[in-house]
Amino acid sequence: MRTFLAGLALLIVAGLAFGQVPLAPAASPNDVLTLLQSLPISPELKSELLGEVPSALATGLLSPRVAVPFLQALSALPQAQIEQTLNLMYEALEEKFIVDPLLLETLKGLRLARPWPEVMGMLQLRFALLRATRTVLQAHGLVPMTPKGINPSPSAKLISELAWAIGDYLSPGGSPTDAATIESKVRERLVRLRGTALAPGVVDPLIAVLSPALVQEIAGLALNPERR
Amino acid sequence: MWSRDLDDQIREALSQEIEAARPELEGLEERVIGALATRLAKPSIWQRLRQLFLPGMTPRWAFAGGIALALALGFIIGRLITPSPTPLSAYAQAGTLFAVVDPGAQSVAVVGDFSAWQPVPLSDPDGDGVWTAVLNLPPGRYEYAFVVDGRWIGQDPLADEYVRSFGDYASVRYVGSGGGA
Repeated sequence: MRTFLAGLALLIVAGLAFGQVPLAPAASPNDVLTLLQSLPISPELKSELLGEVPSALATGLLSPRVAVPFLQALSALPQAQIEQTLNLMYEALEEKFIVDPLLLETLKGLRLARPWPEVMGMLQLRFALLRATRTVLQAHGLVPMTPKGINPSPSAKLISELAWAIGDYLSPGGSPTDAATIESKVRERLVRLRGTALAPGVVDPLIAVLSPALVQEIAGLALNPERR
Repeated sequence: MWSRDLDDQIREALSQEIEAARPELEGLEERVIGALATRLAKPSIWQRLRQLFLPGMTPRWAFAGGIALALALGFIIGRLITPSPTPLSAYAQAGTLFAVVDPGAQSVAVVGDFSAWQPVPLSDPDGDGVWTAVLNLPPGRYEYAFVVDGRWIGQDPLADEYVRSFGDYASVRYVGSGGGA
C-alpha cells in the first residue's frame, strides 16, 4: 500500500511538472554532426562544414534543436539545393552570425511549400541584411568590431534582431525608401525585446540613436551590396 | 390384538399431552390480538421519518420529491467527479497558451520557430471545439501559425502582431520573463 501511495504521489508530481505540451525531444550536437556526415554533398563542403559546425554548436551560433530538423528537411532536396543552402550557412558561420534564424527561415519556406528560388531569394536577402546591419552598426560604434563576450554575444543577437526587423518589412514588398515606417517598426520591436531577448546595456545605445536614416542606410547597403 | 392395545396406548398418551398443554392455550387468541394491536399502533422508522420531514404529504408528492432529490444528488455528484473546463487564463499562467476555436476541426497543430516549424498538436479533450496547447517558451519573440486540417491559419487573434513572408501571414507573440504571453 505504501509503495502504491508513493507511486501515486510521484505520478501527481510528475503530472504537475510536465503538464505542458513538450516540444520536440532534445537533439544533441552529435546528432547534428551525424546528419551532416550523411548528406549527399561534395567532400570539400562537408569538410568545411565539419570544421566550422562544432565550434558554432559550442558557442551557441547554431543550436541542435534547429539544426537537426533543418538537416533532415534538406536531405529530401536535390543535391544542388542542399549545397546552395549549406554554402550560405557556412558563410554565415564563418562570419560569426547567429545562423538559427536563417535555418528557421528555410524551414518555414519549406513548410509552406514555396518554390525553391523564392526560399533561396529570402535567405539571400536575410544574409545580406545581417552583413549590412553589422557593417552599419560597427561604423556607428554601436557594436564592437570583433564580437566578444558571452555566447552568442549580445552584439550578435542585436545584429540578428535588427536585421530581421528590417527584413520583415522589406520581404513582403515593403519599400526601402519608406524609412520612417521601417524605423517605427524596428523601434517598437527593440523596445519589446529589451530586457528579455536583448540586454538593456546593448540595445539602449541603439534605441537612443535609431533614426530613419540609420535603417535606410542598412536597407540600402543590403539591397545594393556593391556600395559596401 | 396386539394392534388394538397399541392404539389405545397412543390415544391415551395424546390425551395426556393435550391436557398438559391446555393451561398454556387458554387466552392465546386474546394475547395474539393484543400483540398485533400494539405493533400496528407503533409506526415504523420510515413512517416516523416521513412524519418528521414530510407531514401531511400525499404519496404522489412524496414520489415526485424523491425523484427531484435523486436528480439533485446526481447533479451534485456529477459536478464533483467530472473535471470542469479549465479557464483559459489559468492555462496562460502555466506557460504560453495557444488556442483555436473550431468545433468542426479534426486536427489542429501549432507550428512556429519555437518548434523549428514542426507541428505541435493542440488538444480538445472535452470536445467543445476549443483546441489548446500550453508551451513553456523562454522569453523572446516567436513567430507561429496554426495548421487546421492541413490549412495554414497565420492570423491568430491572440497574437501581438503579424508578419508576412513567403506570401502568407504568420502571427507573432512576445513572451515575457514569466514564460506566459
